[in-house]
Amino acid sequence: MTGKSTLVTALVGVTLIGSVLAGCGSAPTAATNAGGVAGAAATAQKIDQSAAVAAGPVGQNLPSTPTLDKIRQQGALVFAGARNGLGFSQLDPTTGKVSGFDEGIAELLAKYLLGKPNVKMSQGSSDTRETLLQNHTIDAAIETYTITPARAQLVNFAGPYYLAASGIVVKSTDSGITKVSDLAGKKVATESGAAKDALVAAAPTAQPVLFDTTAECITALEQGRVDAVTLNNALLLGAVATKPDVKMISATYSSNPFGIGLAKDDPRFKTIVNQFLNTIFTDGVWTTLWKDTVGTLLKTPPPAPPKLGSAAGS
Amino acid sequence: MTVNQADPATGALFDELGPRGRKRLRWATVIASIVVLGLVVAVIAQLAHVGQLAGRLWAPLGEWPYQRFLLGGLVTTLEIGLSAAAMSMVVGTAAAIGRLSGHRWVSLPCTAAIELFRSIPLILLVYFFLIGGPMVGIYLPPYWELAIPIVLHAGSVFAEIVRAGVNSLDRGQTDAGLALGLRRQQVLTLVVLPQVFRNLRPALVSQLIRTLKESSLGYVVSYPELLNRGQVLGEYTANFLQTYFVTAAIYIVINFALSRIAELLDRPKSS
Amino acid sequence: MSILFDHLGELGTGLLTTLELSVLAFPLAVLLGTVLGVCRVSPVPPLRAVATGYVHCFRNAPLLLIMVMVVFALPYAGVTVPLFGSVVLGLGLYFASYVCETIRSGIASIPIGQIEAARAIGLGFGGVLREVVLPQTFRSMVQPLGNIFINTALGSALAAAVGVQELTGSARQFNLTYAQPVPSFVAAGIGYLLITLTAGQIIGFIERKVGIER
Repeated sequence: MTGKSTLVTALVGVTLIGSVLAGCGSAPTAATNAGGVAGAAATAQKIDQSAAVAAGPVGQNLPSTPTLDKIRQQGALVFAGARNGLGFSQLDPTTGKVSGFDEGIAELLAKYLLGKPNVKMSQGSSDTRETLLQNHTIDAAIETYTITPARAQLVNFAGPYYLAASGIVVKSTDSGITKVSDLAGKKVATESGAAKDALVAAAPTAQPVLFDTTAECITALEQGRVDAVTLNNALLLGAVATKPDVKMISATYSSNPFGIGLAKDDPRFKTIVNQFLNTIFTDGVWTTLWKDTVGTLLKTPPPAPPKLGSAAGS
Repeated sequence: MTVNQADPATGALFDELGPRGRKRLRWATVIASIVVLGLVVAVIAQLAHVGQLAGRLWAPLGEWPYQRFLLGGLVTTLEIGLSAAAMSMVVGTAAAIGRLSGHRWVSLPCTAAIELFRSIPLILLVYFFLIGGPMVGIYLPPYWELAIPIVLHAGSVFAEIVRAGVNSLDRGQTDAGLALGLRRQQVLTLVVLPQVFRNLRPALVSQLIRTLKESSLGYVVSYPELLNRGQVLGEYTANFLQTYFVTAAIYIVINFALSRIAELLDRPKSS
Repeated sequence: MSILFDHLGELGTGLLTTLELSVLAFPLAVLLGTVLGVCRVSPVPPLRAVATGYVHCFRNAPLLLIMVMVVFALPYAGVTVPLFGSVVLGLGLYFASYVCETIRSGIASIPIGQIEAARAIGLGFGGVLREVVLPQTFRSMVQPLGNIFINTALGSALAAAVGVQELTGSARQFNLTYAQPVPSFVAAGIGYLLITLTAGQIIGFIERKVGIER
């Protein structure tokens, strides 16, 4: 009797899955990324930091510091990066390759330190990166990491190397939100950390709803769970590029300086990294990297590189 | 408790049916079948209506690079699930022995630890080790940041299973052991536990299913197990429904197969 | 530490949300689980198959995956539930499978003589269940159902991962803002201990009231 009911269960399940697969089987499976797949997959291919990295400088006569010695011993720069930040650091699951501005900065830094762009991305979330730096699990955190005085008490920041404006995404049909003050009293999806802090500072009565990734924020908006999304504008542009039902409003607000997070106990290494940033700021590599990554999403002329040490905490 | 055993008690709820009963049952079967099939059709129709059955949305999941990515996540899930299950059984058994100990200075801390780790959510433990651990000087590789909370949590659950097994064993076994002149601890390890573990064979597999499911918290801490990879892939292709459907199917098939194995393990004993 | 006391209110709100989630999800799980449980022991094969299939699917999938699916996948199928409701639904669907299995073993714990006696006085399948089996089943199930309630409360912590700010989420948020992990997580842990210990007391009380000695 039990055998029978299991059989029926199995049949119901198989029918369901079968009908689903039938729909799948009839599709042209060859078209993976060409027109078939939306989301990050559609735009990720255009973003490629390799030209900038190829042109990147190699540091000469670098002084020995504990972190640099460790990196040389490892033969690679171990850094905390993201895997789902289109434009900055996006993993392509099919190849295992990561592309974007932050990935480019990491590879350039590795090349500057080692002569070869050898990097190893480590898991690190906004919860853990300070810790991972403190205990030297990672040598650097390069993941849209906003410099704040509070964080600067725990880690050193080289940079800033990028100034991100906060952007706002709303439904295509929404014409009521055109600037950040319109977010007052609205439910706004964002991520914990700098983006949320910027929102609270600019629109104190907005109700932040926190998700872990850009895609989850955008999905929540598409599904009508929130009225708007606010995050750094380049991340948002990447995420909304293929979605017709949401749009980015033209106004941006706030300015989040991204820095390279480094261990507090090695101040000389911070000097080396700042030297590195200064080099790529002046020799045009930074601008090339910007154009080939974030620039493909923003479609504006490249800005001037930020001024080192200009952010409180750097 | 395995899921699909023939159940003697529930079998007694209804008789071998007579002619009228059989007729009614046939009708009930037909009506229920129609309703169930109708529901299945309704679900499929709704999915088709909103365009979620479109081949292009499912196509990536039929391609090897994407499948390889997900299966890589499954391998990680199995690794952490198996190793955490094994460790949780060791830790759990030790804690159960401790809790059953006659010495209060052993049993009290063991009891407290078991109750504590059973009473707080696993995700809180994960956050604690992830964020709080380093602040108090505990630095762990990512694997252990996920594995230790699972072992503590699943271990405390297992400890209670072992303790229940010990308590359900005939007291005569313990008495006989003591009468032979064995010490309490020897009775436990030589007489009681071997029998308990023979009775617990299905529970060993349930423990593995538990840790496999709990390893899905890798989603929260960006540890690249199956659910985390499902998330990354779902976001990459923007096909959440399809990716999570397949991810769920993988979990269900693996765990269903394991529970089947548990039943097979259980069978020789019941015959 | 003193920062923590200044912000105890935020953690209190989180604790309240955790309680609301559990208190709403548990009846849903019991209701759905009971219906499934009855289907699971019924003589009608398709109903048994559906209940069995349901249990296999929802017990073998991780709770977090079910929640993520309700929040992020279900809307693509045209069903959008608000975030809070999604978490309640996810918890309810998941724990219904446990309630179903608990009911089945609860029914199995009724002495067979009672069922035979009930049938002998002419009760059918529905009558036996309604008048004799289920009332006793629920009594013998106070403890297991209580455990499911506790697990529901603990499971609601996963809501933090899908944007609902309950106790665990508040603790995490507090830590992200003030970098005080130990006090914030210890405070949250105490919150959960309060819930589980209180629930344990209530379960014990109910069991003493309605329990039957065998």
